[in-house]
Amino acid sequence: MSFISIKFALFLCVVIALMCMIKDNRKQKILLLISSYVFYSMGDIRFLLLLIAVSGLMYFLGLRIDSDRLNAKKYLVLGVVVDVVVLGIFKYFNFFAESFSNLLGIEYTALNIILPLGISFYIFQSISYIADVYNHKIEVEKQPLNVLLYIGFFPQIVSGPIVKAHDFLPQLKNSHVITWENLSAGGQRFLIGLFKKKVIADRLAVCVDAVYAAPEAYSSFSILMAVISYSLQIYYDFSGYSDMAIGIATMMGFDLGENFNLPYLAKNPSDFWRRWHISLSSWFRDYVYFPLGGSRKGKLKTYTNLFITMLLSGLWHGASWAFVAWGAFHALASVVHKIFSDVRKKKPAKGANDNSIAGFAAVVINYICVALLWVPFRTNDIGKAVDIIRRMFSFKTGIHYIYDYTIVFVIILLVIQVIAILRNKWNNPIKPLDLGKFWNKVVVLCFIILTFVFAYIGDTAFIYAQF
Amino acid sequence: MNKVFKQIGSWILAIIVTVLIMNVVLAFYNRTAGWIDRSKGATSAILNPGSSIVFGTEGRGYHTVDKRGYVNNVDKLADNYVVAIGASHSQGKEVGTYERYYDLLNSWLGYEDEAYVYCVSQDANYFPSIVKGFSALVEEFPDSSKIIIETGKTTFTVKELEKALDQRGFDEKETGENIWNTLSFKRKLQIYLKEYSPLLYNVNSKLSEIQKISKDNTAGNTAKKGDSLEDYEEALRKTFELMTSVYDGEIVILFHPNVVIEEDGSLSIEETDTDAVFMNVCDSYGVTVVNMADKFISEYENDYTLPYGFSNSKPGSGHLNSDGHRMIAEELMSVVRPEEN
Repeated sequence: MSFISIKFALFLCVVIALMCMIKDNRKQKILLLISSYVFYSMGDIRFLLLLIAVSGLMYFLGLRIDSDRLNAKKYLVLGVVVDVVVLGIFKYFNFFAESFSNLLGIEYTALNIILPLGISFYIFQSISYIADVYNHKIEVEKQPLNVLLYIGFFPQIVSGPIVKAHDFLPQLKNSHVITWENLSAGGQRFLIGLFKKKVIADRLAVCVDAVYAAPEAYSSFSILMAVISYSLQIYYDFSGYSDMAIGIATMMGFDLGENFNLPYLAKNPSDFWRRWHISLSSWFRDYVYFPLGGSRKGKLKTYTNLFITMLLSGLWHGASWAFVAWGAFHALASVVHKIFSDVRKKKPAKGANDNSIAGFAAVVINYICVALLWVPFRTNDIGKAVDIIRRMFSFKTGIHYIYDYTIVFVIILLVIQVIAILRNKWNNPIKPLDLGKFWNKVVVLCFIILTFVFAYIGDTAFIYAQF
Repeated sequence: MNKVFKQIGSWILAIIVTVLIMNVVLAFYNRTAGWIDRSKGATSAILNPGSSIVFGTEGRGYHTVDKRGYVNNVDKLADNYVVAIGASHSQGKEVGTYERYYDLLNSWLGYEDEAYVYCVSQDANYFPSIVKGFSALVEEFPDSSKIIIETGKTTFTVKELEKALDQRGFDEKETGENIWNTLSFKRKLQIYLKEYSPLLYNVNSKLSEIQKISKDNTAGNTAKKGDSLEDYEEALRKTFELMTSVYDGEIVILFHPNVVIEEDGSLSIEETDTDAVFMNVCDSYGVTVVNMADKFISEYENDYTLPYGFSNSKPGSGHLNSDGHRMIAEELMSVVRPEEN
């Protein structure tokens, strides 16, 4: 069930209405768990059992880790292995089998394996739970209800954000009162997400799909515009989904954290990953980079750890060499930046308030690198990506296609970024409006109408839902 | 309690202010002319005479509706005028005024204050609908020297073609400004509301779009029962038989097929097996066919010019753009040029 459907609107209204009526914490959690499983089943009922099995196993392993501290590491490893194997079978089996077959010169016929809905996201939350219990970041959950709800919570199960156990489980301790403030803030957040998805991302897809389908037909400048369009499309598509998920959770009184913070304002690769898909980056930092040793075991080991982490992050996005290459390039860029920072004996800038010309130049250079790296991400084929990039820089003639909406949305993004720089220390300046004020009501109502009138009616699939 | 009432009042006022603001904003983006259905006439509907159209959803254009209810810059007809009849492609709402093929032809032929090529077009007025109103068209424009019929496809069902033989008929009362007097107060109010409330119009259009998409998705797998080419040809012959029997002047078919941008960068024409049958039938009835296929391909091969698509839509698809209209005008020029005495 898509967030953008009448069915979901009705579903959410019923859930919120029932939450208003039920005051008891435990009953509210039961309601949310049932709602989450109903939501999941309406998307793809075939794998509900897998979701429940994974959640149940994590609950059991959590108990074992807590009760048998001597063997806790074994249970943790077992849990991680099971999670990775499950993910590996459904997501990576064909990729690895085909790659090995090619290496050995054996013919391989791909198996028809269906990717369970949201598996990349809930598997990571499962690992987060047992790792947090193991690391004493949270107390073990004695009741399975909390673990099941944490892993299956419907606003974020399909495409995140990947909420960490130590951030989410404490929120289940108290009852959730539905307040006007939460409904207003969550509703506005959802609306912003809807606008990003239906008005911006889906409209940009028209240009991107056309050019990427036949790049040979287009001029170099048109391809450049399509590359820019895709960089915007993927940002607005995914951050739009995140806004919707965060908005829905906010309405019910939950805080899922932030997932994006104007990533194209990043000054370097590390800064980019602190602003893009924050929940995934921080997951890899907490559960891969730190356990590998982080930056505590010398520079060479730090660079290696950074590279491995970024490479895995690339692989998480999809089972193909294009994603591996995408991750590897990002990893390389991060390592080069880290080396450069170490040589200059300066800590990498954490989106600091650097309004110098060099700072702006860094933003532009970083954006160019990121936008170019989105090309293999979009084509999912290294050869095609190379062809597109080569054509873009070869000043070829072809169809001259400058999509109006690309220009409009670039301007919108630039305005928001300028406001962020001037008013909010390079951070996202958009905050929910106080609907008690008359003109704020008018602004929100105009925004609702604009969203509806300018919404692109057609394909509503979210790019990140495929991961 | 007082606070609650105050808030409700504030919301109502906010809605009113929003509606006013959005009406002004959308008037510059997408505004239509009132649609008047009719049972008799060349087309099954006309637009409210004297109204105007702002079109921004695909391409961009501002147009006026003439006194007959068709989209033309002038309504005075020149001697031996030519009528061009078609659907939305001919209407050309997506391109600027004077960029449509008939405007270009008038301009190139030196007609400024009168129309030598006059366009009779309406949304969804496809070939079967044109045939259905053909007798009425001839009656409404009795002095025309030629009739150009615009079509982008040749795939019509036998049922559609057979239904078209039952002529719509003509009634002077249902033409142009005359029809306005026959409308009920409610209908007039609806037309005014559609014209002066772009917000309502745009919301309504979007709802129809959503409805259409969900309908298409549901009906997606239902295969249409195909007619045999023989049956198609027979039904098509009957339509040409009818048209040539009621009209003495020259009939010209303007055929502008869809194009496909191939992965290797080339352009191809979307062909169907009915195309050849359609052309043969035209030929056997002495109907001139202006087939745009070669022109579309040569212009693309020359400098990648596409006949369809805009800077705010997908290239190569959708409606004719200004280049497409120009190409058509260039091809039609030799066909419609008045004979010199």
